[in-house]
Amino acid sequence: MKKLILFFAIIALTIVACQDNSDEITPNQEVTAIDMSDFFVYTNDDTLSAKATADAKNDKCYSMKVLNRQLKENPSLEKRMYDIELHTRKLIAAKGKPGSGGGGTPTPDPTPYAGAVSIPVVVNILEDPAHPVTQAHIDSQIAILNADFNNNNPNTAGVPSEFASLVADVNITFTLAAVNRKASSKSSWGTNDAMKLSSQGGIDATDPANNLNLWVCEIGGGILGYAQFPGGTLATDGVVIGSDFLGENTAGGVYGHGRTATHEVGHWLNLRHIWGDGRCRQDDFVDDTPSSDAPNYGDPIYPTVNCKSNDMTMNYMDYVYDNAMYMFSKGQNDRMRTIFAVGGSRESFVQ
Amino acid sequence: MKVFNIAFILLVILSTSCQSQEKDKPTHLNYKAQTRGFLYEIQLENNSIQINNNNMVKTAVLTKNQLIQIDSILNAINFKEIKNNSSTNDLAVDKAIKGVFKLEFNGNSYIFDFNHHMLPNEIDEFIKTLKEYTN
Repeated sequence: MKKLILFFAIIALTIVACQDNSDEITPNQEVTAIDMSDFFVYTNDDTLSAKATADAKNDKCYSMKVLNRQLKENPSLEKRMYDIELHTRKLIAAKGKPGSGGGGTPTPDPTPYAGAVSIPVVVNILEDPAHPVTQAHIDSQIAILNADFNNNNPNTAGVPSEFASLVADVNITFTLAAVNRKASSKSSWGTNDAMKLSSQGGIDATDPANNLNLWVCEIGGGILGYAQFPGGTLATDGVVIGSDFLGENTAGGVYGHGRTATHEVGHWLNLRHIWGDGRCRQDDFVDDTPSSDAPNYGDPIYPTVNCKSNDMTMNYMDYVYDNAMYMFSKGQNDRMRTIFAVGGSRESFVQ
Repeated sequence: MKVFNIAFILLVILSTSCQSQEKDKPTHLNYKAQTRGFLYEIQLENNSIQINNNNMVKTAVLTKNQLIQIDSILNAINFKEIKNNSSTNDLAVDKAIKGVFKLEFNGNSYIFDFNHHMLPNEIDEFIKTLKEYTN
């Protein structure tokens, strides 16, 4: 009898302990309406102490502590990124819903920007004679961006039927606004943004609120290109592409067909990597891209299964060869378009 | 009581012998740094090493002295002090290359996520030594 009582006592205790704390502090109304629970801000977790695998579970809690501390240390950038994400989700959530205004004429909720977008591109070249960047490279890059962001990539015909209905025409046009050239003997500019600052030998950005600045230089270290998300410092806003990987360029080999720029401009328009830079449960914040836990490389054979679903390996935001990537999804299109909507971080481009 | 004592002694003997077996396990390293257009991988297993540097593959069979040197280098590293330094912030916009370091040594397993271009000094030295063995 005693054992039975003890057994029930343990069960009762377990149930009580596992129940959600109903008195937990709830964020403000706006945040609860739009689910931001999965949002995380990338931080430098260089203070994280690595441990033997046995301690892996503890690491997660520790990393959350580090994240919280770093959020306090750098609140402005993190706040901006949070606000951009909240704005993105609000607009996507409002898409397709009836207007919410009271009285006679309903006022529609703001949704992702619907019209055509034209983006002037300023190409800033730090010229290394060993890796020439010709006008043909530049022109072909602009043409490739226009093909990819207007669903005109000829390879798109190869999209598997599973994803065919998700292919998006993003309707963004890129026009060459200016080309700035500066001689450079540097063989490795690295990724610390020196190429973006004349004070460090680079070329300053041209009116980044109204132009996409695209720097071309020898990055080195195996990096083909890199980008900056919306919300960052305006002076360094834009993308950087390695000299051999701009446009149609035989020097770039399988990466010489201009898709490094397409991928990086995707980041510049607030897209994450298709695998969410984490394991299966870490999302790219796009509903129609399947979950994955790592990048794909090379020219994958369909289907590639990860996280119990087929990877969208042909998406521009994966890591495959240039000719193996040929689609943005409709969800990604919505996400990119929210930043051009009213209050969006790149609204200035459509004003 | 006797049975309990015997069982206890057996358990102690068994666990001690298992521990020594673990320590006798050969050192095994897999280090892989990869991003779009870049691959650097080191495989160290038993007495063989293979380094793949962007599909340029070099292999070597290690001498007894080299294996002793590897043990000595690894013994000198305080792995509790080694920190992950791969920044997801940089990885998310392709600014850095993540190097995943998996080591089995003296019965312990270690996994670290490093920035391939900013390896901790001790690890950098270790990798440089391994690289020299394949030259």
